[in-house]
Amino acid sequence: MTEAYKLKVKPVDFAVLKSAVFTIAREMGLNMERTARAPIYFSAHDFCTSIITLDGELVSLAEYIPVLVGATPFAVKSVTKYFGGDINEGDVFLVNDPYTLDGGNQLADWCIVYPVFYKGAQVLWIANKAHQQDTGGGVPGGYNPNALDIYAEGLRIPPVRIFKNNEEIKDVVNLIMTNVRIPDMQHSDLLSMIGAARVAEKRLRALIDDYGKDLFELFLDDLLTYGEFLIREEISKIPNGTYRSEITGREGASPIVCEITIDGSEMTVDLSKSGPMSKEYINSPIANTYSAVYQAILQSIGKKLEIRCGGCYRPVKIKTKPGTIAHATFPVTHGNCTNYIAKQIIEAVWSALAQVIPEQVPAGWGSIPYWIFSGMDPRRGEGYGSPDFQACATGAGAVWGVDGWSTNGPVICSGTLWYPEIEVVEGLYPIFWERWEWAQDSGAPGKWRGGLGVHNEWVVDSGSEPVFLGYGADPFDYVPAPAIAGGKMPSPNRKELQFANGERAGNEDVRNAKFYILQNGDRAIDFSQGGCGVGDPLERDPELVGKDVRDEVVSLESAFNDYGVVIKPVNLEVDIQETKKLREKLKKERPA
Amino acid sequence: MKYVIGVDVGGTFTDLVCLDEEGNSIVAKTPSTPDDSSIGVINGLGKIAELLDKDLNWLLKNTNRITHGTTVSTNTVLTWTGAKVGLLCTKGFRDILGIRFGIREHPYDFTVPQPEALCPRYLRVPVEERINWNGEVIIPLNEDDVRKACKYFREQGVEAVAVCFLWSFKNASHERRAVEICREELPHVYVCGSFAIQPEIREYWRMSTTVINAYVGPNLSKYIKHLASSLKESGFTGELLITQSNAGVIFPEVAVEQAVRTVLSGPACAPAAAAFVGKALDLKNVITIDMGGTSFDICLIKDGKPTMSLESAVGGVYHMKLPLVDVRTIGSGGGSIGWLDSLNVLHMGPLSAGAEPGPACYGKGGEEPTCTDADLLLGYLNPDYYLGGEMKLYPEIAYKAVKEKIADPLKMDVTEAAWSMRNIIDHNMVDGISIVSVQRGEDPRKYTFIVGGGAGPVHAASLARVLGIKKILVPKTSSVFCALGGVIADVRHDFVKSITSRTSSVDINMINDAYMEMKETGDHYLSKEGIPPQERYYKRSVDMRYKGQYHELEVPVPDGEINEKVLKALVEDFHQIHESLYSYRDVTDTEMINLRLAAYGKVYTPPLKEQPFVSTDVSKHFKGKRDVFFKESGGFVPTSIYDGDSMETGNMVEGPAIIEVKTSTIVVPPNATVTVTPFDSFLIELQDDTE
Repeated sequence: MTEAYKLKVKPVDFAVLKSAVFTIAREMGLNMERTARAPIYFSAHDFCTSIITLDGELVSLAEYIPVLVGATPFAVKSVTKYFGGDINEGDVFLVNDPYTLDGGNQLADWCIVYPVFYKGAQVLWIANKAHQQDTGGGVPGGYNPNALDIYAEGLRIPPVRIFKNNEEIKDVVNLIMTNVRIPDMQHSDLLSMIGAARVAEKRLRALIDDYGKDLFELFLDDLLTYGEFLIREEISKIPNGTYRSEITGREGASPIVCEITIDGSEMTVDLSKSGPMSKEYINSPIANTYSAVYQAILQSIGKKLEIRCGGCYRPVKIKTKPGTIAHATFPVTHGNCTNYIAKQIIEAVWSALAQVIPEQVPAGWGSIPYWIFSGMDPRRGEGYGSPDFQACATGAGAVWGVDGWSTNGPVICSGTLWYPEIEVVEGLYPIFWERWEWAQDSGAPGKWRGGLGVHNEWVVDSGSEPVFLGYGADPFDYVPAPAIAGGKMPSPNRKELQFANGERAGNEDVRNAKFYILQNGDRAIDFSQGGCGVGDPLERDPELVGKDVRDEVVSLESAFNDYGVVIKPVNLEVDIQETKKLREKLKKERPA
Repeated sequence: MKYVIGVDVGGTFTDLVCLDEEGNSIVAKTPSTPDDSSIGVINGLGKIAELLDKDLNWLLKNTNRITHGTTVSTNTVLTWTGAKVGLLCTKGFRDILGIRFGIREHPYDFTVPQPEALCPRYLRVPVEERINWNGEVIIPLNEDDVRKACKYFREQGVEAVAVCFLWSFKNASHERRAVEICREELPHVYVCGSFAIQPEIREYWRMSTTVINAYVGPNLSKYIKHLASSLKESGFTGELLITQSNAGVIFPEVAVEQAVRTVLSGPACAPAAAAFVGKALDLKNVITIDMGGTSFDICLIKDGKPTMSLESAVGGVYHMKLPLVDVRTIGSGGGSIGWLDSLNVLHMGPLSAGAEPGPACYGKGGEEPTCTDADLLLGYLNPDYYLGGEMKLYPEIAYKAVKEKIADPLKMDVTEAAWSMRNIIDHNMVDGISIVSVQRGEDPRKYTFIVGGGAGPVHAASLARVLGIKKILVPKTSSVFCALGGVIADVRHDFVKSITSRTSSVDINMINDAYMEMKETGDHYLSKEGIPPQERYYKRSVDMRYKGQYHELEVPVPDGEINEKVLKALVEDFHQIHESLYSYRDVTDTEMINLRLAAYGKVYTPPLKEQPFVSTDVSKHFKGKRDVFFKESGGFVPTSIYDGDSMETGNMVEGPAIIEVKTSTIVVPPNATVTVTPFDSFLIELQDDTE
């Protein structure tokens, strides 16, 4: 066990300052959320705010999207390395490139890095990161499945100064905005990120005024040590040993191999044995990999932690090997690393831990099968482009004692992606939705069932304007994992296109073609995946199965075959006697 | 003499305030009777009659109006005791309610189960119909589907039906017809359609609001009918009015129809009362705080108006979209428990000792040290005069709890431990207040506190010091603020019309028509309620945002015809509001999303009575001295204690001092003075901090 740590500041000052620095990060988040213009930012909450020490450790953050939880310190470190000695009050920096000084996780995630000064000396950093609706490159929207290298994926922004003396450096910002497709909106969103930082800076200065700089700096030490202590306590509860997992998919998939070694209160997550980089655009830059590992740890052993700060990362050592899919190197493509490889890394960590602490670890989530549509809206004569967020509504994995949440995905968002309402998307895009509801039997069986995925179906309603449809789904169908303690796996995503001329394109066709031009009346259908189950489905409370059947989220057949529950067709009540018999029979028939 | 009476039924107490025509007020408190709240109401009215030396029948015969605030609707949702609701929705979209737009409130902790919808899936029945974004019928309503659903609902014993179709705010014809059929087929069932509850874009919010309406409607209806007949039996012939979450009142028939507007109405009227009391002292910018046993309520009043919010979540998960008074609640109260984590970091709450067993010092078996225990040990509370002496406190039990659970493990003395506990809870509340004010772009230093709740005045001065607030008002009526807020509230009906248009291309005639239509509907309700045209007034606003933003800001719209010039002014107002909240303005086009109109009917409220000046001398209210802890003075100092209930207008006290009233204790720190104002309030003024 760990030794108790003696705080350097008084407990009361600690409590007060701790609450204050998290409140400030939260306020920043609220301000960004309420002012942003890009849907991916305010609705998908694909952003985060953070306050960071001069050494690059996270003090506090408002993580709207969990998978960015560990990415901002990388941006700060790249700015420090590049501009060291030339960082002044009134500066603001911008960075997105994953391969320059490892500063970014994904080109579309732009990070502003804002030095906070107090009486002439820098005391802290603020780093706010937000996913952009466009980031230049070969196709609109930042997701280019056909890119050959990172240049085709988007504009690379190494650490660059965009404000000096609180004034925008117009030529630099102009150079950037000239190379993205929605400069008006993206400029607004840049202002939104910086505006939030300014409000926070004011609050931080007032706090340091009240408590004095010396005490404040002692407090920062205490806070990080406190975070470290909390996570060490949790790691210590895991038996020492090495736990291995491997996640892979259909032919051509490069596996994620994860070996977790627990030694007392230290944890090593070794991903260096993962497979080579892929030709698909899913390779994970190091900032993305680290962030995914942190998310996986915080959502399993760290789920009840009172605070999440950089101290929580101290006892976690991450090993990667450059040139593997978990450590992408220049100039390989990476644009979809968050949606896919981050998910595989998270679930590989869970799968390894599930071998030793199955009760602590979530089961795998459904993989998102979404489309990206774009075109010209004849109603306004304006262009549009967006992922189909409706299709991202996959099911969450179950966790010991609790069913997975339905339509809560993807896992990298974990319920922070707010699907825009049908009335919103039909207003924004010339598309008519015919169905958006839970798909029966999509949640994988288990004593605790996986959450349900969605049946999403829409028709093009754009008159003579075509709709460009990109395929954004997992190219290798990586297997969702883990299914824990006898829980089952969900069936895979399915996609289909039905053209107005009577032709159809099935799952494999769509996968191969990757891109379509749709005309009025063409229909797109997808079934997004549910979550994995936990525990033996034959042990699920029959009354819960009965309720699921009456709610029509589980079919009579699945109740019978998967759960061994006999439902009387007349009144949909559970037949207790017959269920008992059936379950005994099914258990006997199981292969040993 | 004629009276108006406000009644507020809370979880523990039923509060009443009775005003006569001259503005004299009488206050009463009686235990609530949760099984049948009307008993508590009648008991409370009996208490008022007693205080007037009359009988209940006489009082009710001479009472023109009773306004009634109730937590029936809120509790119905929180305790899951509402109606069995059936929902008719558009075919293909059965799970709008279950998907809840994908939100997970705790993204790191998956052990929290997904909230059950208030209408389970087997009672969500899809109906063939479809209207598009432009309000055009794409698939006509299949009336057979509706009738079949009604039959199914009858078999299932459904008690209320909600109807919510896609785009019904653009074209309500399908919803209207479906509601008609349901009423025909299910004559004894409560039926409501989203077009009549909140006809606003975004189907999840509209549907969830409508389902909550159906869920609470039958209970509320039963309760109001029962209360009305109890009052009638006791001789009441005046008007009964029900308070809403927007701090306005409505007539019982409308309350039953629009039941969702009474959800979260509990704390909504208190800020209105504070604004009313503040107005008498010309205080326009006020933060109201109310600290009770388990929670701390905060509301910002700017320019005399409580801030409103449009989106809310009952119990944190059941979403509603309607204008309501924005009262934020945090879990800090007198009962908040102090505890140490494994690193010996001290925390206060969120666990509370509640009323049973309560703080350790209650002597009812509680062993955990609470905020009240700390306040007692620091000398702020008088163990022999808690609730005016009705309840005895035991300092020795409090001492033991704080010593064993906090002081010993932290190796500090009990006083320091108690002070640390208090300091932490104060800062939790300060952070809560900052979030509320900073989020609105407001500097709390420009505000005055108005303080309510039993524990509020014990902590207010400490909070004010940290926030830089200089003035604190503690009205003698603050313990019954909700009841008072009800009495002074005007009748209010809210309407909304979604337009969703770029401002540059908006159809001005359409805006004028929409406002006219909403006004006419408002007039329809107001005339049904017997409010003559000269007693009516209207407030208009428009929700605006920058092109492509998701969240809107509400911009007030002046009276009169809208033209190009007014439109331009609205855009400029929007830029200014945006800049003051978020530190920047944008150059891009703006959008107008919803037009809103509130139709009001004035009710007569006697003005507050101004009490004549008596004396600055407070000596005859001096009760004695005891040692009280003040950080500014370096520890315990002998402190004068005064009897607040008998203090008179003009009385002045210099801090450090303690003023004891039956329902609370006012802590006056050093470098502060208190005066009794002509409107029966204590005004604390803090000088510059000399700590």
